[in-house]
Amino acid sequence: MKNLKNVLIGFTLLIVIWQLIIIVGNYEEALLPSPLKVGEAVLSIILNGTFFVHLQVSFMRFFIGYLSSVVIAVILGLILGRLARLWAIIDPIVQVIRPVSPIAWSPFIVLWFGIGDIPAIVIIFIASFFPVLLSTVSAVRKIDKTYLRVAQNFEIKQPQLMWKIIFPASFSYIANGLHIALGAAWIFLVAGEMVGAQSGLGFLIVDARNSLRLDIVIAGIIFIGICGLILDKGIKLFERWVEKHWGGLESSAN
Amino acid sequence: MTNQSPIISVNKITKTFFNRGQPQKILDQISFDVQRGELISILGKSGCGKSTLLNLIGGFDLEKEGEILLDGQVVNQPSRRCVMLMQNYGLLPWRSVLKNVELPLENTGMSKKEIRERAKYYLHMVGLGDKLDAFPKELSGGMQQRVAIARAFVIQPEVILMDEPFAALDAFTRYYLQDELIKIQEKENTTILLVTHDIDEAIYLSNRIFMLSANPGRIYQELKIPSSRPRDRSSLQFQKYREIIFRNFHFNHPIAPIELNV
Ligand SMILES: Nc1ncnc2c1ncn2[C@@H]1O[C@H](COP(=O)(O)OP(=O)(O)OP(=O)(O)O)[C@@H](O)[C@H]1O
Ligand SMILES: [Mg+2]
Repeated sequence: MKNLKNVLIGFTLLIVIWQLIIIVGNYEEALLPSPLKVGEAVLSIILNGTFFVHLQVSFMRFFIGYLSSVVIAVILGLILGRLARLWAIIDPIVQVIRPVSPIAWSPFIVLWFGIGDIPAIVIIFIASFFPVLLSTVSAVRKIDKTYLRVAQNFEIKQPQLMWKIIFPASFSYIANGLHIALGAAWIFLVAGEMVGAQSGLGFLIVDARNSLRLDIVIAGIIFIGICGLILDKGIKLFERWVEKHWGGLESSAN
Repeated sequence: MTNQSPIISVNKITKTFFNRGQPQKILDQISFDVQRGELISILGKSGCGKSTLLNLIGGFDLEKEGEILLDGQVVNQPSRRCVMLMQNYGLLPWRSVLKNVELPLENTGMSKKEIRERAKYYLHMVGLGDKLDAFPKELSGGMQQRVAIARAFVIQPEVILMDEPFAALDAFTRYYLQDELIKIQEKENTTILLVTHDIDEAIYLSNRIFMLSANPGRIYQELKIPSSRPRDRSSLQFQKYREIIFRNFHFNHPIAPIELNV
């Protein structure tokens, strides 16, 4: 309740300052649309359904890119985390590729995959891949030795060792990587859709800019922010569930 | 018992650790045999190498001089025939109590139903029949240790190694679990090697006690306790054993007068 009050105060202040800037600076609507104008734009794209069309497309791309990336990164991470020698060779390569923005690959992506859904999906894939891979590898490497001893003692061999011991033992750290990757992937969704898409929230913004509708640009930004927030809350709930059912980080020690 | 081959045979084990390049002999020429069904305690001061010895016997550490045989075969890896009970219980926090005990039975060709029944049977045996669906962190330390005990016995290993299994528990729980252990061991005829600091525990449980000295670790005394269990902790005989051990550890030497140099 108190939280809600703070949210209201914060946003009211933001809108007031925004309006004041327009009044004091005497900016035209075409340069900086007023809160009222943006409010109208928000309503209009909700009411005429364009928002939901784009949202649906974006979510579809997002989940395909994110989930396929997560599955592959976790599996690779589980394997590489156990192969110290191989990881020592791959790690430097990953360290060089990781800081490169997925957008930098876009010339190749467009060249290879054309336009449509795939470029955005590939960019989301790249954006979430490295955080998940790295957190999985490090989770596997610092797994509590006690669990490995128990597995040795009961002669639990691969693949059981992987999915009965190593994966669950490192899962709460992996979930942390999933969280970071989710945020990164959402940020790059919009960028990805600006590169080579004809639909989606990113495209909504590009399209509005091209037709000089800055009010719709801001409306798009607001929706992207809110959806990102909802996703973040969602994965936090998931993390809490993980903590409850899989033992959490701290209880693994004793 | 005498014409049987020993289940464990430790031959001239020497273990050297290197600390910053400096060799440090922790165990020195340790030899002993353990017969089937015996309960042996290894008693010694902190840091004298008890855990090190147990790790070697369990096959968790293979770097050593000398030879260790389990049922006549050289130990060169951990095996299901010789289960180690970890000091911190080693339960898997993401599995329920029942699933923890089922773990070592999975993928052994037993049917799901058989596995479940076996696991339940041993959990009932340690008095946790009503905690099957609980998770380890919802249990007290004593209960967690009982789960670990059930999980060790459920595959009916020939040997169980225990590293200070009751050290973290209060006296009442400890006494209770010691009695439980004796009961289960007699029923299953398991050989147990138990490391402890607790002199009373060693006397109460063991057929034989090995006393380990420090720097380097050697067995300098073996004490046979032939009387049948359960034993009376307040009996005269019990006191006698306690005294023998105390004397051996030089605990009952008069305290040397403090010299004051001003
Ligand atoms: N991995 C290791 N590297 C170097 N030295 C070690 C290592 N493990 C143990 N030691 C040394 O070996 C000695 C014996 O250790 P160990 O853990 O076997 O003792 P302990 O008798 O089990 O003691 P406690 O009763 O406190 O558990 C100690 O002095 C310890 O410092
Ligand atoms: Mg120890």
